Amino acid sequence: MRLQFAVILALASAALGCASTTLGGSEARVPVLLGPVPCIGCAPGSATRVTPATMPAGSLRKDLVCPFCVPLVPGPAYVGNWEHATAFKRHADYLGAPGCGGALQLTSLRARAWTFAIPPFFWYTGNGVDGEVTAVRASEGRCSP
Amino acid sequence: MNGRAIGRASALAVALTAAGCAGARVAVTADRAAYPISLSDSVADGSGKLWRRSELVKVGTFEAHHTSIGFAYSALTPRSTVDVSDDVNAQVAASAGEAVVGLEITSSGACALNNVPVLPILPLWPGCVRVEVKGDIVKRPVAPSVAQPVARSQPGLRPLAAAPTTPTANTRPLK
Repeated sequence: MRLQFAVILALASAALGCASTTLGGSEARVPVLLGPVPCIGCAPGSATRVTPATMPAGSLRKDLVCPFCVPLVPGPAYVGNWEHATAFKRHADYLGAPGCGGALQLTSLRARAWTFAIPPFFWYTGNGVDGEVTAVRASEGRCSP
Repeated sequence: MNGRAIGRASALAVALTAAGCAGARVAVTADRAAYPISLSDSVADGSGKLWRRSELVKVGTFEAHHTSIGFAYSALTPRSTVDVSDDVNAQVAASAGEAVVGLEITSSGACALNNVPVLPILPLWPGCVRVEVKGDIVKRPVAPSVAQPVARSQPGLRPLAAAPTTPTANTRPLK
């Protein structure tokens, strides 16, 4: 019984230690820029904002591991994950990023992680990456047809 | 009496839960980066041409990670800014690349401090956040001529040969 208890504690702690969330933008149709250089060969800060509007963007994951929350159930009784991946594609459309030379600029980027636990009853952890995006014109010039 | 004790215990539990827990939070910046960094698979050049990852040549992998410690339920994080500018400038220069695409920022509590039993309830107990930043270092297959007329005619743009020369402490010479 003691061994089982120790194993459950170890597994719960290990599982939450591995929890993470990632903010990426591979699905976006325009560049999603971090930093001051908007394009290859461009000077830092040369991008111009299209509109003053911004939109929140982020990725959040929360995990609840609850070994003894349900009586008579030895072991993890409930594991819940909620993951939200930012759809930069929709951001670009909504903010009006130009199809030619347009981009999204990511600002106020923050990362956080926290855990609240009362072993052996439950562990509750969260990981988040969030920021704001705005539409910019990264470069002038021609666009391929 | 029992009811009152249970009420106090419940109020304490709610207060502790609402007060927070162990963790940390940081700002992630690249304000001094000398190269374009894109979370998407594409990046433009000075002429306005949009380069997809499939058209670019991957010359390396960008990777940086940082762990910050926070106190008071993550409200106070002494090293509260993670600036990856020096990492970008050094690694892109070392790979002879022109940009970073497909950047991903990962946040995790992958450190033991957050998972110590009971003690995270204390405000002075330190928590942590681990930030990992990864991406592909790329360059165009054939760099256009320095004398490209479109690039020269645009305000705010500079010739490619002079573009990524911002000196940093971590910049290494090309091999």
